Amino acid sequence: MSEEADPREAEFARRARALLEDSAGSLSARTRSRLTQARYAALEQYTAASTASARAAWQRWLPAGAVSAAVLAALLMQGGPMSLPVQMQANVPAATSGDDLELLADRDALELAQDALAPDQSAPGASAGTGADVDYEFYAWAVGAAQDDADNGVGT
Amino acid sequence: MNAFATLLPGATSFLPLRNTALQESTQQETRSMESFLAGVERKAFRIAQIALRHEDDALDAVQEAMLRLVRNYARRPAAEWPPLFYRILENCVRDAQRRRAVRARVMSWIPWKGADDEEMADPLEQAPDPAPLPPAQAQADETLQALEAALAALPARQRQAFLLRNFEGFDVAATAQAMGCSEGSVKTHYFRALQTLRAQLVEYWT
Repeated sequence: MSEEADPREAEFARRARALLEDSAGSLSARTRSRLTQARYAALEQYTAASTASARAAWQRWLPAGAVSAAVLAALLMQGGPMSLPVQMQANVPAATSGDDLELLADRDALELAQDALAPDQSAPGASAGTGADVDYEFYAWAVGAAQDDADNGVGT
Repeated sequence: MNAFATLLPGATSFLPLRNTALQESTQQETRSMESFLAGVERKAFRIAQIALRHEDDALDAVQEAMLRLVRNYARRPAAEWPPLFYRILENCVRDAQRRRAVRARVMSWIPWKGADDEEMADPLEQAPDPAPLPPAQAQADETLQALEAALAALPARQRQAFLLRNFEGFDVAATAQAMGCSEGSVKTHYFRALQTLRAQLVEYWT
């Protein structure tokens, strides 16, 4: 009690506190019993409220959880990631994650892999044989050259 | 399908686990609240009794304060409970005083209201104790009664500041929080209460 600058005030405060504490410690049995009942009543209300709120929370979230689980289950039963469209499946590289790590670790291998995936467009006939983008001009030229050679008797 | 089969047991076991955790958390909170209320109830009762000068009204005020604390602030950190509880208790004491004043005003309008309507006092409680108290005890009782009377006569804010600081042992900050005022006001109220009480009890404590 820093407010009690006067020692007589401090002594008075100490005595008053001692008296009040004694009186609080010597309450009658009836009063103590009523206080205990009041405490239990408050705690009972608290327990009941906590249980009710927990149950209400479950009842509130259960339908949403059930719907989420059903959607997830439906997705999984359809086949999951294996049910990708055919075009996407064609683009999925066959390399495993281990191969990917090796490529990333080795810079030369990475450059080679990039070259393989993006071929040089300037090389004549570089993309020949890939199906969709066949270089027809090259084949036309090759056939024409072969016919010219045959007509000129080259190689005979 | 296999993935769903592995997911399902996890989902079903989640419900009881969550329920158990909730129950444990609730039990722990209940235990700490019980411990707090048990530690504070006697002093709270004495504070209410000094203000109301009536045992049953004081018990009602303490019970109401406990219920309100549990209902509204049980989820708050336990360190905040003491000032909150005493703030609620003071409000309950004020409500009881207001109700009493209204009742007294209403009763004063009723002409046939007499002593018959007063609550009958327990004759056993009214009977004098045949065993005389030791002189020291008798003097302590007399001093306590004088102190209670002097405290009850103080302005409410001074009484509250004195009891929270001196009896409950709150520091200035917690007292200010419980009283809803500044720390400077607490110091002023406490100082004035101390001066008044000393002046009134000088004949008991020389």
